[in-house]
Amino acid sequence: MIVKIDNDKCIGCKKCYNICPMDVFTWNTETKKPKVTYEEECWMCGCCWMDCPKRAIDIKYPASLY
Amino acid sequence: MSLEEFTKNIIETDLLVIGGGTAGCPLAAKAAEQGLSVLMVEKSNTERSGNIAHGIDGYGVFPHGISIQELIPMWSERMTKRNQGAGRNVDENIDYMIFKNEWWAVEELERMGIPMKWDDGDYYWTPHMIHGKGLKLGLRVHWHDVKPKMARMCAERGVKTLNRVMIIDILTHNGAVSGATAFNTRTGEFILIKARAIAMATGMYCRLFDPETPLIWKYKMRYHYNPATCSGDGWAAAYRAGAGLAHMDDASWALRIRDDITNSYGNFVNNDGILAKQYYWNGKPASPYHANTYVGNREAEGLGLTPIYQSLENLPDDFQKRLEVNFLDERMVSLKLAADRGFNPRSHRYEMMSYKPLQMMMVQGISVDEHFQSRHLKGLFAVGDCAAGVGGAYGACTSGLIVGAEIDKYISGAAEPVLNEEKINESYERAYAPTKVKDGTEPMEMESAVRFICERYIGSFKSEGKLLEGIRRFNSLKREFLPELMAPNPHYQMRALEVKNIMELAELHLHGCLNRKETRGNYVRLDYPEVDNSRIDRLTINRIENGVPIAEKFLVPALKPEYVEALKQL
Amino acid sequence: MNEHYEEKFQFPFWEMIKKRAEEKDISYSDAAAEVCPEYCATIRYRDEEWTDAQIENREAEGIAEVQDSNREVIAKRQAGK
Repeated sequence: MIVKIDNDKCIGCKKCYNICPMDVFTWNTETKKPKVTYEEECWMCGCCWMDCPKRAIDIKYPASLY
Repeated sequence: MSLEEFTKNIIETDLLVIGGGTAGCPLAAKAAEQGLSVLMVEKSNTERSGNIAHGIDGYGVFPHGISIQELIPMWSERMTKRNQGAGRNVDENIDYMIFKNEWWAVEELERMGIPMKWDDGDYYWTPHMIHGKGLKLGLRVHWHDVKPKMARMCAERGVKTLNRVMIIDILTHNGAVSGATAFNTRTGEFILIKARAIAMATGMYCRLFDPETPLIWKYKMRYHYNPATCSGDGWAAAYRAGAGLAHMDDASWALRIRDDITNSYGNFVNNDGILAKQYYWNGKPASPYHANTYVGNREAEGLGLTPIYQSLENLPDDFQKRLEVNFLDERMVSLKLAADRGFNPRSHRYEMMSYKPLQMMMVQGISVDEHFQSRHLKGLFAVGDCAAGVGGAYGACTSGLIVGAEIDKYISGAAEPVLNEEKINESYERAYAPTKVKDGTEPMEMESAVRFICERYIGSFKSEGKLLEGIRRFNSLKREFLPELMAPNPHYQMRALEVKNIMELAELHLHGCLNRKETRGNYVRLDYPEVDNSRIDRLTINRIENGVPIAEKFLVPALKPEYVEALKQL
Repeated sequence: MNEHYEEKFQFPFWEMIKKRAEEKDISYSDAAAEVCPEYCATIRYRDEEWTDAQIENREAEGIAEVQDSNREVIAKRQAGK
């Protein structure tokens, strides 16, 4: 998993869901948290990671991209 | 069906800007300042969209310390001759307009809140790709958070921005643009737009070849130079509406680095003037031929000299620090990724991968004149990477601002827009047919099939047998699988429409390569190793005329006498 | 050659950005915007003589992308035109 969301840190501001260029997130209206639904479409721009106000997103490269 | 029965989402605007990236945002902001009603539609979100979603470190090349007259051939040599070979590949009048207005554009951007200066309040100049004693042509910028600022400058000026809206088709009436069809990629709603003029700013075209690393079995969108969002939507829509596309029988290439421990996705921009050294695996310096060309790469591999590495070892600490700042400005996450790896540019080497075709580059795109107006479709303007012959952040912002400043002249004379219901129905079908398919083909499956064809049958080294097989396979793919392209939700509807655009343009590229029987620059036909002299100073334009696709040779304009004179006065 | 790839290097700039983000509880982008000018102030960007000398050293080693059209411009400059 390249993009991991720490749901404890996440405040549900929707920043990542709003700005992701590739639309990889969906929004869970019950939990009010984002979910990485289209992981294979992530282009690793890091915008979600750098704009999250709570630094709740971690981006780490998996083995196949190491 | 009447328009109103079709959808309640009909928007009227003076100017429709398609694409809210590096060119679209300045264009929309400037046009709004002229008092026009401006609607900007963006497939993602203008806060983080386009080629510089995550930032850029170099704004562009300027006639700084040299004249425009001197810069035009230097720029042409750097940007086109390596790839396209000798001859005039880009309309020099476009270069003239951009270089002439470049300083004005910088001042406009600053006025609108975009930072162009360095932290200490002055401009910071570096050798920009084009080296040579004392030449400092590159404006270096801190732009890791420029996109949110661009989104804000548009909002401040009353630009109406629709994010998560993807364009389907351009609508025309009496040979001029009259509007567009679009849909919301989250809700699936169909949208109709009436517009007196359209500025296409959708960037370049990629995704017909594999992304940046061969490790793509799972992650299929890792591109550089062109963001993964650029699937040629604007080019394809313009082509379908009758506009001409230039240089579709060409492709650019990238030298990729094996790992994402560089400024940006495994690509290495120059470190404020310091280039990397290149070594064979045995530590001996690698020749530029082996390191930097298709054919040379192949030879090096055959001689057992690969991998070839790049190195920034033994540099003063100051330049290592500049590299870190480069990382931030260009793509901050790559700094974090390199840090995770513990990679040390001071002592570690970057493994290079060979050149391979990647996407379309600056010479390609919608064919426009030096006023950025389509040569074939009235009322269609194209700016930035979307336009043939415009490139870089400087090209995007300058062309965008020029059009934003002048488009009111066209609009004041434009006819009342009339929307063609038949075309709207066709357009609706194009976008919504996949939503009605069950148990069909997923867009990514289709896209992978197209990319495989382009990689295997076009690739770096082209020849007739491969291209014919590629065309045969492409036709089978279209016939068997396009009708069952499936989109179970609006997100996949976006991907399905993207893959249709990708395919339409890939087909032009396939046939273009078959017809282009020469080797020139980085275009290699193994069966035609000589230059086709009838193509020097010319490019191919593909367009649809009276329903028939045609490909014509177009003489690339040299600098007009009045501009030559004007340059002498400067 | 393998050994030094195993040492884990820390980028000073990244460490500064991380620390600032955590101290102020802000995004990495906002923290970087603050830290960047501080870090840049420690770099000799404006020492043109020194910077040009480094670039010239590199060119002397044959590492530069000098084009034919550049050479013409440079030659003209040097001839005082």
